[in-house]
Amino acid sequence: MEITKYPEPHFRNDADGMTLLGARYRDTGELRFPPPEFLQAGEAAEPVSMGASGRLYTFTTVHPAKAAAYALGMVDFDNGLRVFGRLAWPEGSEPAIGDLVHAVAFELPDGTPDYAFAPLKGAAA
Amino acid sequence: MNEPLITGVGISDFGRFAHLNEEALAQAAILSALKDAGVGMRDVQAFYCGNALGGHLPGQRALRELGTGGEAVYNIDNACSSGATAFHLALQALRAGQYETVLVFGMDHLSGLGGGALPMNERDWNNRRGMIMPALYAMRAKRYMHERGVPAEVLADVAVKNRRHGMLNPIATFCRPVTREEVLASRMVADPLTLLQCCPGVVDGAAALVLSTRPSRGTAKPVRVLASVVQSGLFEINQVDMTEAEITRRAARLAYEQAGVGAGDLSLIELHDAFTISELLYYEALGLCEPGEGPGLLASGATALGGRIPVNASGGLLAKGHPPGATGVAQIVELCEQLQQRAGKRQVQGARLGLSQVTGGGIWGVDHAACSIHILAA
Repeated sequence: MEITKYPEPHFRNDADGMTLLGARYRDTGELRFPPPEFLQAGEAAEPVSMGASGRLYTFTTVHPAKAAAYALGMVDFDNGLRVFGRLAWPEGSEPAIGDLVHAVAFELPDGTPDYAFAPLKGAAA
Repeated sequence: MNEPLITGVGISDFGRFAHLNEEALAQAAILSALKDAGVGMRDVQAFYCGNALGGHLPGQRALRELGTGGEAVYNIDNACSSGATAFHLALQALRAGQYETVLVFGMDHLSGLGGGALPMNERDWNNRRGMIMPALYAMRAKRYMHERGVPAEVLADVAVKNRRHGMLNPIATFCRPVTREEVLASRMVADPLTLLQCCPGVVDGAAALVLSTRPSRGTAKPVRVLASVVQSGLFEINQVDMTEAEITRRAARLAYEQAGVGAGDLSLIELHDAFTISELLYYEALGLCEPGEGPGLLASGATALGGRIPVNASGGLLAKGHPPGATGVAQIVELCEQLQQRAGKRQVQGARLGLSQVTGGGIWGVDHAACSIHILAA
C-alpha cells in the first residue's frame, strides 16, 4: 500500500486577495477541485490557480427553520471546473445567474479557514 | 427455471408515528406481504432489507420476533435507492437459482431523527459547506427556471397534483390537499423551493414484497418484472448541465432495452418526486417528453390520474412522504396494486405496464449517487 496525503491547501492568500487552488495530476494532466485528499501508488499532483474569477452557474438561499439563512452557489471557472461554495453577498444585494464572482475568506462552522464567493466589484452579469 | 414473480405485497401506513419504531412498521408490511402471497415465514429462504438511516442490522432487528428459521438476511444501504437495490439483488438471486422464495422489505423511521432535511455525511466536502438535498434541487430548479423561462407556479402545480392523488391513497396519512397559492405561500426552504414543494421531512413507513419462482398461492395475479436496473453516478466536477438528470436517462435507456418497451408503452410511472423540480426533470429523463417540455406535459394533464400517463398515482413522495429505505419498495407495491387492478380510488384504468424510478444522493462530485429503475407488467 502506498498512500500519500496531498500536502497542498485549496486556497492561498496574497496581496491580490484569495485565490482558489486546484490540483493537476502530473501523469494525466487532469485538473481537480477540490484537490485530492490522498494520492495513490506514486501518483503526483501539483497546485494550480483556479484563476481570479468565475461565473455563477446557479445558486440558492437556504432558510433553516431554527438558524440564520445562508446562500450557496455553483461557480464555473475558465479552466472548465465547477466549484461549490457559500455565497457572501453584501447586504441589500441579490445574486444573479451569470454574476462574475471571486473567492473571499470565510470560515467553516468549526472555525477552519475556508472560502466563499462574493461578487466582483464593478462586474456586470 | 421459472421466472421470478412478485406474488405478494404489503405496506404500512406512511405518516408520523413517533410512538412506533422502524422494526414495528417493517413487521406490519412483512406480515401483510406474506398473507397476500399466501406463504408463511418458513417458506422464505432469504431476506433483503433496504434501510438508509436505521443503523446496524436493521433487517435482523425487524425479523427476530417473526419466527424465521435463521436464513440469510442481507442489509442494503444505497441511500434513497436502498429498497429498490434490495429488490434488484433479490431478483438476481432468484434468477441465479440460489433461492426460490425471498422477502424484500424496506423501512425508515424519521420521527426518531428530530426533523428537517435528511442527515448527511459531515465529512463530505459539500456537506461541510452547507449542502443539503433541498439546496441541491433548489439550484437545479433555479437554473431550469432561468434557462427555460419557467415560472414558480409550474413547480407548485406538481405539488398540487401529487397531493390530489395522495388524498385517494389510504396509506398516505400525512397528506392534505393544497392549492397552488398555498404551495407558493408556504415557508421558503431553499429558494425557489417552498416547504410544500419538498416531500415532508418526518414521515415513517415500510413496504414489503414476496418474490418467488414457485407457483403462486397469492390473492392476486402475480406481477412480472421486465426490467431491473441499478446505476451509479459518474464523477463529474466539470460544468455539466444540472437541468439534465443524466443517471436517470442512462438507467431508463438500459431498462427500456431490457424490457423491450419504450416510454410510450407505459401505463403509469412512480418516480422520485422528493422535490417538485425532480418530477419535471424526470419526465424528460425518462423520455416522456423532450428536454424543456416537462412543464407543458404537466399542464396538459397527461401525468394526472385520468391522463395518458399518470405519474405518481400513489401521491408520490410529496404526498406519502419519503422514509428512504421504504420508498423504492413502496413504489413497486403501488405498481403491483395498479397492475392487479386493486388500487381503489386511484386506479389507473387498464394499467398493464408500470415503471418505478428512485435515485439516491448526498455526496460531492456525484450529483445522483444511485438510480434504480424497474419495469413491471401485469
